[in-house]
Formats: sequence, C-alpha cells, structure tokens
Amino acid sequence: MIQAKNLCKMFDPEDGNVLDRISFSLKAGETLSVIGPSGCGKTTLLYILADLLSPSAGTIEIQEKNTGGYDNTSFILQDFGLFPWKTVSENVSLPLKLRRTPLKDRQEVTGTLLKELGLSSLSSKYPVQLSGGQKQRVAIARALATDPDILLMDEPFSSIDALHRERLQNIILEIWHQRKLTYIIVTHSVEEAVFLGNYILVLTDRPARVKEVISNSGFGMQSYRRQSSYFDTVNQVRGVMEI
Amino acid sequence: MKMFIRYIASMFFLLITWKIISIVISTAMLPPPEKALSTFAGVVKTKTFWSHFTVSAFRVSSAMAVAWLFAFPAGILLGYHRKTDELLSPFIFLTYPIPKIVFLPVFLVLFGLGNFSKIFMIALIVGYQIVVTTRDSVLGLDKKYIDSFRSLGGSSRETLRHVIIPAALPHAFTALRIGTGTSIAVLFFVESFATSHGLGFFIMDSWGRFDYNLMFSGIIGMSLLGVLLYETFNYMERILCTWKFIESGRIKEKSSLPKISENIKVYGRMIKFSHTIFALPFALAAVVLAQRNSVITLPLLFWIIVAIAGARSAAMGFNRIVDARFDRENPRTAQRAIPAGILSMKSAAVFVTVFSLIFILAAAMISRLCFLLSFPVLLILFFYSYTKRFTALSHLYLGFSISLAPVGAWIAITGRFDLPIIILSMSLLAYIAGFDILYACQDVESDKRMGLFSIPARMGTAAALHISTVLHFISFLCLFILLIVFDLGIVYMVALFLMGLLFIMEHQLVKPHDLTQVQKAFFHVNSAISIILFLGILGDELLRRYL
Repeated sequence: MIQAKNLCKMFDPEDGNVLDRISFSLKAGETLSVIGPSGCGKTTLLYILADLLSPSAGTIEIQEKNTGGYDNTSFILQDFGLFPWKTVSENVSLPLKLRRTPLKDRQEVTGTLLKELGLSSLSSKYPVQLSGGQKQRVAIARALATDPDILLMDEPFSSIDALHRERLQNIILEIWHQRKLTYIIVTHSVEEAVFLGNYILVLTDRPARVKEVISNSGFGMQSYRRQSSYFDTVNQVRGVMEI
Repeated sequence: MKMFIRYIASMFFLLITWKIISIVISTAMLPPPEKALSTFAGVVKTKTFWSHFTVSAFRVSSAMAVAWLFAFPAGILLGYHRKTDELLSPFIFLTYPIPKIVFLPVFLVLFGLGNFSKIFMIALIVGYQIVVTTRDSVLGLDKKYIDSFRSLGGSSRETLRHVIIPAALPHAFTALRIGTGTSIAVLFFVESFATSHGLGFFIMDSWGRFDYNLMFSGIIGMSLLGVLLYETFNYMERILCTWKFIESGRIKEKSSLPKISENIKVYGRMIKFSHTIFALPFALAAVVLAQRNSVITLPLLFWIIVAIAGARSAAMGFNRIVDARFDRENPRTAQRAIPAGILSMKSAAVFVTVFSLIFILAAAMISRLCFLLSFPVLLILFFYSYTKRFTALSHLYLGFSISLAPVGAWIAITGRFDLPIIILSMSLLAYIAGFDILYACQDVESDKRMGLFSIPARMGTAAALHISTVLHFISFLCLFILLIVFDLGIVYMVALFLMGLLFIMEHQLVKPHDLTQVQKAFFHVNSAISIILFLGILGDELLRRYL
C-alpha cells in the first residue's frame, strides 16, 4: 500500500512550490498513471516516491508485502538510466550485486529475466549497441531483478516508436498480471495513462496539484485498447485536462 | 590485422618522406633512412644500446605509472568531493599553466642527479594532465547515472566503483595516451644533461661526436619507446573500456582480444583456480626441504611453479570435460562452465592441450628426468576422472594424484627420489582424500542417481564423516612424523599445533545433517592449513639459516 499525504516540494523559495499538497493512496496490486502538462513536476513526484528526493512537507507511507528489510521499490528512469560501461547482463544483475546476492543466484535471475524479455542473445552487448525498445526492455529487466513490490516508471516509452511502445505496454501489463506488483507510471500520453492505470491522477500545471483522480474500471486487459469504454475514459481524461 | 597493415603503410610513407627530404636537403645531419636504419640494425645488436633503452624505458614507464597512481585517484576525488575540489582546485589551476620543466634544476638540487628527479619531473607533468582531465570528466558526468544508481540501492562508495570510476576511465586513458608524447619529450630533456645513461644521453652524445647515423639510431629507439607505450595504453584502454571503443565505432564487437580477460575468469572458475591454494603450499614446502642439500635457482623455482599450475589446470580441465554429463545432472555443479554452456567442449579441449604442453615444457626445462616423468604423471592425473565410475576409493586416488606435486618438486630440485619426502606426500594424500569425502557428502543424492561411486554414497554421510576424520588424523600424524624425519624445529611445532586445531575445527563445522558449511568454511580452513604448513617449514628453515 502506498499513501501519500499532502506532498509538497520546493527547490527555491523564490519559485514557490513545485508540488503542492499532493495526496493519493494505492492498495497493493493497484496501478496509477500520473499525467499532467510537461514540466509540471511529475518527475519530481516520482523522485520523491523513489526516495531520491525528500519532500519539503507531507508524508509517504509504504507498506510492502515482503518486508525484507530494504525498500523494495524499483525505478525506471526517463531515458532508461542504463550504464553504458556495463553489458546488458551486467546492467540487469547490478541491483542484485548491490544487495550482495550470491553469484549463482544472480546469474540465474538475470538469465531468466533476459529470456523472459527476449534479450538472451544480447546479454553481452553494451547499451550503445541496442535500439530504444531493447534498451527499455533491459531497463525493465533490471527493475524486476530484485522482484520489487513497487515499480516506478518515468515516461518509460516516450522515446520509442508507436509500434514498439504498444508492445512494451503489453509487456508491462503482462508483468503486472504475473507478479501482482504495484506500479506508478508517469506519462504525457493520455492513451498510455488510460491503458496502464487503475487510477489516473491528473495534475495541474505548476505548481502541480491533484486536479482529479479518475477511476479506470476497464483497465487490465490488452484488449481494452479496442473497447469503447477505453475511448470514453480517454475522452474523460482529455476533458479534465482541457485538451 | 587491419591496424597492422595501416601501421606498415604509414611507416612506408614516413620513410619515403624522410628519403625525399634527405635528398633535397642533402646534409650529413639528416642521413638517408636506409643508412640510418642499417646503423640501427647494427646498434640493436649491441648491449650498450639496450642498456640505454632499458634505462629510458624504466624511467618513463615508472613515471607514467606513478603519475597514474596518484593523479587518477586525485582527479576522481576532486570531481566527486565538492569540498576538496573547492579547496584544491584553485591551487591546481593556478599552477597548471606554469611550465613545470623549468624547475628541473631545482629538482636536480633537491632530489639529486639520479633517477628520482627525472621520474618525478615526468610524473609531475603527465600527472597534471591526468588530474585535470579526470576531474573534468567526473564533473561532466550526466547526473542521471548517479540517480539511476542510487535508485538501484547503491551506496556512495559503490557509486565510485560502479559509476564514477568507469565513466572517468576512458578520459583518463586519453590523457595518458596524449601524455605519452609529452613524457617522451620530457624524458629526452631530462636525459640530455647530468646523466650518462638513457636514450636522451645516447642521442646527445652521438650528436656531440658528429655521428649522425648513430644519433638517428637513438631517435628511432626513442620513437619506438613512445609507440610501445602508446600502444600499451591503447590496449589497456581497449580491455578496460571496451564500451567506449564500441561507442566510438573503433571496434564493432567485443573482440577476441579483450575477451581473453573475460575468458580467463571463465576458465579460472572452470578449473577452480583458487583451489590451487590447497596443494601448492605442500609442493613449496617440499621445495624448502629439498634445497637443504641442493642448489635452487630462481628459474628452477619458476619452472616448478609453472609445472604445478600447468598440470593442475590440465587435469582439472580434463576432469570437467569427462564429467560434463554428470555435472549437468547435479544441481550443485550444473552451473559449471561446460554444462552451463558458457564454455564449449572444443575450447575446453584446447585449454587442456595447451596446459598439458605447458606442463611438459616446464618439466623439460627442469631436467631430462622430469621431462620423461611428465608423461606418466599426466596419465595418472587424467585417470582420476574415471575412477569414480567404478570405485568408492576415488577420493584416495585423487589424493594420490595430487600428492605427486611435492614428490615432483623434490625430484626437480634434488634430481632423485628419496623416501622421506613420501611422508609429506602421504600427508597431502590423506588431507585431500579427507576433504574430498566431505565435499562428496553434498552429492550423495545425485551420485546415487547416476551410479557414481563415492564413500558417502556407499556408506552414508555419517560413516563418511568418520572416515574423513580418520584420514585427517593420518594426515596430521604424517605431519608429525615429518617433524622428526626432517628434524624440524620450534616454528614448525607451532605450525603443527595450529594445523591440529584447524583440523578439529573443520570437523566440528560439519554435522551429518547440516552440510551447509561445507563449501564456504572449508575453503578458508583448508587454505589456512596448507599455508600454515608452508610457513611453518619456511620459517623453520629461515630460523635454521640465519639464527
């Protein structure tokens, strides 16, 4: 369960709040899409949830299924955040290495994930040798390596062409079905937000406030994209966003 | 290969240009290339030239090493640690543009005319470049990498290792490569006076004697030194920063050359290279004992170690090949290189052949007798792999084959076989057999399934543990007899006591129903036992000689 209460973030007092009293709550296994005008502070919100930034005010409560002693959240950064000096398999196994997982288990988990995401043949390549879609799959594999309860994604598919983007969105949905994890995805695409979110959190322009939380009951199936309720929700979000 | 052809082509171009200029200018100062080269061909046969060359090579390479050792960490620190940077950067940037070379006279007075002042001068000049480049590269690092790393759960110390250093490395290497030219120039300068060694001196000396052909031999020598250094750094960079080479399109794939370093790891794991620590100290102990009545030289010692490492690697590799199908079926070993598909059978076979040849070569370098013995020894080692298919005594056979190492070392040094050394070998035999049985306790299930013979599989874990205890007691007993036979002293007695304690501890660690401690604890305890044995015998010998 994730519960955010009145999160505020201020970088420079002159500029005022970037985030202004953002509250939401998610039960375990639920998913949330965060959408709003570009530059409104979506990424900042995600950084706070990932504990890379601390909020100026407000609280976050996270209760996890596995209380393994460490914060079991994975974060996929905007342009993947893969390390160019590490090969695909080194990138994927890195979070396990940092958790002192024994080599054998590391190899096993990495091997399985690469296979699952169709990356086995690329395991000894460097990120620079990969296409955007492949990079994103590596980033997903790396995020899943620690078997997280919560997955945070910052515009994960923004630099990927439309066809691959849909394929990757399907992969995310599949992973959600298999692993029952909670994820939060920040996106600027209304379609993506509707396709991938149990709830859609619409933010205002700076300072970012919660404009509306839209419950998205049809979410969860790949076929949702072709249903009329999907288009209704897309239109509803557009209406809220005034576009 | 392409690179090589390019090198040859540019060399050819260079020589033609040289030839044309020498014709146009036509002065004794610039001899035509063929003349300079034929002089050079003569000079390289002389000892004098090489003594100058090695002195220069030593100066410049140690200076570069020192520069790297200090400057790279300093650059990382400045880039990463803001407080340090704020404190020190003004000083560095203030002194950076000052030509350090003008302080040479000061250094000569301060540090003397020897190598130190020269090395210091070169290191200082090159070091500055490395510090500044490294610092700037760390400061310029995209912050997303650090965010990404922190989101994966990395601490700040790990950030250094996984992010900052690998990101800065290619830049520092560039500085190092560029620094090669500078360092050779500085080398020439510092060698051109107040010394009578080095290529700089060689050039200036020939110049002073109007021997321009000889002078050019020095110039060619110095150029070669520069090229050699440059290519060394280039190669190192290629291995350490493969990704950068791929990114910049200099290479397409991880080529076979840098792969070697990766393969070494794979092969090393295949033959459990780390386990050399168990038997090698026994063999070295035999070396110490053998040299009491015989002369041992450094090359001899070298070949003995090569022979042991070669034989062991060949035997382990062979074992992995023969056992591959069993390893595949056993969950404990399924991850090994061959069953896991990391290493092909073919490359493993090549590996075994190469190391067998290395072993035979090393034996041949030692003596004719050793050369002749190397063949049966290899057969004995290889045969082990088949023993567990028909006898539970395979553990003893393994001990026997490994126990040949001290005997071999003894024969290598004394040139003959003597009974006393058998005691050390027997101790090793029982020691290895004892812990091989303990290891085999982990594989009871799969051994039974595959019809392999082992004492735990045949008699049960509890009985196996008893047998192992007895064997280790025998091993200890042999070590005790060694004390008497070789008339060892107090140091060895202390070592013996410690080894006894470690044996007891080892058997305390393992209980029939709990084998989890086997792998980890054993490695440490067993390696401690062997090392203490060696240190005990060595310490005793040193005591005997010098006190």
